Amino acid sequence: MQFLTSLLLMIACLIIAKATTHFFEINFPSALIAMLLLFLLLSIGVIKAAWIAPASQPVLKYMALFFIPAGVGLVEHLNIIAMHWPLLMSTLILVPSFGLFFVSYIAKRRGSNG
Amino acid sequence: MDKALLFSVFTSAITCLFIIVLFFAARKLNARFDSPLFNPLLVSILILSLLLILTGVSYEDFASASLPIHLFLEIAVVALAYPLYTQFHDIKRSFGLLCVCSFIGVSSATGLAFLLCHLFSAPEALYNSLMALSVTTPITLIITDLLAGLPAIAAVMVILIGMFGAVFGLTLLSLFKVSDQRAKGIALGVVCHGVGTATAIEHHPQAGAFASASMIISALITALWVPILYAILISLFGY
Repeated sequence: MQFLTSLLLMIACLIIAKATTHFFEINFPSALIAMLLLFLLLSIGVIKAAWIAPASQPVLKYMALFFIPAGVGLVEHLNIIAMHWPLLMSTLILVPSFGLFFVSYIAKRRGSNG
Repeated sequence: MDKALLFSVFTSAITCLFIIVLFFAARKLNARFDSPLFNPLLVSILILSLLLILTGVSYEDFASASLPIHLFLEIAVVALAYPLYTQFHDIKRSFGLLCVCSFIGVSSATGLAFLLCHLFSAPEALYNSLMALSVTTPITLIITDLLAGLPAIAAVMVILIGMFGAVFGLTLLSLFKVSDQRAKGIALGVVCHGVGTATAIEHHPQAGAFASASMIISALITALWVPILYAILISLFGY
């Protein structure tokens, strides 16, 4: 029951966000607007964290499950992967390596300055 | 109820059940071997893809049968508000630092991917697919869809980048002479999102807290900034 209430609260935020983006024709993911809305409602105390926890914790814990259907879409792009694997491989290695370098460098410098 | 509808409801229920069982089996396997190479999400995707190819079931049919699971994707994004709220108190002091770092991380990922696409003269669809890689999977799926890319390719790249971070992340960071736990956490959270955050949590609690906070902030920065940055890059350099 608590699980259902908490799930319904999240769905309500999502529906409000979807209606808003649709109505004002905003080109921004409605799920993120819903997340910010829920964060705002939690911050001003309209919704208590304890109401959200019963569904948000299991949903986050097993979040990866929900990406499976989209990920299997891979089968539709096998020829693109076969054709462009050098690009994909270099992206896979260079993007995280440079990313870790830049971000840790900035975090180290700025973090030590206070 | 008419027969065709009943059949599709039945197919959908069986498909979803199969996916759930497969995913939990993959988690068990992962816990057993305790290696990032057995990423449960990647293992599940590969097994299902292989099954589709072997049985000749079209992805379209699979996608409509697994729609109930797919619908939870957006709810998972909404649920991120909970850790953001519970951690907000701890990260408030470093909020500016986290924003700057996420901004640098997200921009460098998009810029570098754009450069590589240029060098390899990639087709437009691949450009659109590789712009939002420094972010957690649900956001990648949503943003890549928005950019008219191929969400599945983006998602698998993001998972693989996460695995790269789990395997080589800490080694690279010590190579870059980073010893500050905060800096390690932020770098892993921004660049390697969920899997990187898990690595950071195992490594050190402070690194873990900063990793999960910076992962969520990267999600917001990606959604706001990547479409704009991408439009700027295209207008400057074209495809």
